[in-house]
Amino acid sequence: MIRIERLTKRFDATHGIFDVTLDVLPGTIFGFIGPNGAGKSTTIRHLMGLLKPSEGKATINGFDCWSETEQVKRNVGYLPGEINYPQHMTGEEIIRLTRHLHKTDPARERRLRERFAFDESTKVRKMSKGMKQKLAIITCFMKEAPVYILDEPTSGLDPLMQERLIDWLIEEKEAGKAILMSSHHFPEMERTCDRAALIKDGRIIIEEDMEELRQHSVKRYQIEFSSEAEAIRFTETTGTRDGIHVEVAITSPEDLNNLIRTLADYEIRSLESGADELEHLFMQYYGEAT
Amino acid sequence: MLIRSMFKQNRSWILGYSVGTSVYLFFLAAIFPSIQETGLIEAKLESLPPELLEVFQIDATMAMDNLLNLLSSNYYGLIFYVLAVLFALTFASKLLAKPVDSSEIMLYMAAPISRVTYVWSTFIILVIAVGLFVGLNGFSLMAADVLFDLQIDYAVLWMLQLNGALMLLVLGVVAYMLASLFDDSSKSYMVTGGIFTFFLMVNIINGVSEQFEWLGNISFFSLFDAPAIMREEFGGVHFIWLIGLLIVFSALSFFRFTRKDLTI
Repeated sequence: MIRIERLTKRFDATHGIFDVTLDVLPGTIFGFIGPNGAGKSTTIRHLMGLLKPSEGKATINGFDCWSETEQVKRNVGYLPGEINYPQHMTGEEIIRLTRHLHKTDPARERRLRERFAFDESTKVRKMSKGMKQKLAIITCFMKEAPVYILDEPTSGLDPLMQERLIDWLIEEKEAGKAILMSSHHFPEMERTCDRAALIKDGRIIIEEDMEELRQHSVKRYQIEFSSEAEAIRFTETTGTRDGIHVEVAITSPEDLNNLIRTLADYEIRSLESGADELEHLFMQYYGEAT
Repeated sequence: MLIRSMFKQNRSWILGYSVGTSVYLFFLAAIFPSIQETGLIEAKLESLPPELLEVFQIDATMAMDNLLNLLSSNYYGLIFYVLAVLFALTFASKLLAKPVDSSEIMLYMAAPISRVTYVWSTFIILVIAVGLFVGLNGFSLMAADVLFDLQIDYAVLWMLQLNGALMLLVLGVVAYMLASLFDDSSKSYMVTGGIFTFFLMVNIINGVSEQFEWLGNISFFSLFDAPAIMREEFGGVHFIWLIGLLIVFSALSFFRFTRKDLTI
């Protein structure tokens, strides 16, 4: 499992990460959310032994990420956010090298190559972003590790490959792996993560189970009324109107029940809920919600 | 496997230096008998001002009746210094500065490899590269000797190669240590190039006048003195200095890289 305790890295007075604490348990996927420069990659670099903490510590399966980095990396499969393989090497050469540098599983490698198929004979410099991402996914997961650290894993993938990766992650979770995943892609976080933390200016501002996050989030509903008069009458009490359409923000199950009871007195054509609930919550915490 | 993979990634420049310089030496050796016959070299050397000869470390009193005497003033003078600087810069750039700057080093840093192992592996690549460089240089001259009967003194030849190898190792490790101070490869290239050029200039100025002879004591390059080896005046002190510098800068490289924050 991954354990980060009061981890602090000061680049200067305002830049860095401060007092970051989180645990990722076996059989769970932990979502790490935050805008660019918030501290996600800095935290992940500590886990990979690339940065020495100013204070606090990070451990993986009990090994200190800075002083016992060799043992840590034996337990970790890592998918970096920026894929930078040597340009002159082919995909096949990178896979072969990974096979020698890490203890990999041939059966997993075969399965991964089938799911994330691409032309392995292509040199890295000729690869598209999606191809590089598929190569990175294969090299990360062909190692049978108890812990995986994934930085923006679906970046550059087409929808079909994103779907395949999500299925793969759910299988890995069910097999008992501890997975830390940073992402901006909210639907995939909602589908895969059991717990999530939001980081802003180097500090964790919220860390909760996904279920709790969903309950706390503002849910938006779009109501289409049969006439403008009905819509106007409704917006005298709540909501924002655009013609016959009204949007209502709901923050608790009680509010939702009240809304349904109120709508019983109106002629409505449809009622739809907003899809990106987590995204709205994220925006709320960043003070950018509209 | 790490070393094999690193060598594979770097073999083109390693072979470039080794084969390129060896071919140059072989052809110079091949035409040496005809140069010797014409007596052009002696005439040309006599016509040059003594200061210029000093700058290029050419001993005008040395008879050009032997290939190694010619090489000590030619290839093993300023040419070798410049090649050694370029070799060291290429090594540090390819094995550390560029992989860190471009994040390519992550391929190795994500594997269960400690930073100490990484530095050791790069130093083994340096030893292989230097071995190939001076080894092929030496063997190409031995091959030319067999083919053209050049009467080369092999003891002196291999002493030159050994001194050259130590010089290349020291410059390589110094460049590596300096590269470990920066995350930006162009900055590390500029700083290291600047420092080496400064020492090279110091070495050149040292030859201009006796007044500046003391400058020779502060330049790495004075520790490779081909004419002195030819005159058999080259003492073990130079070798001890070179080995000492090699140990100190290797230790500094380990110390720096194993504590460095990598923002890759």
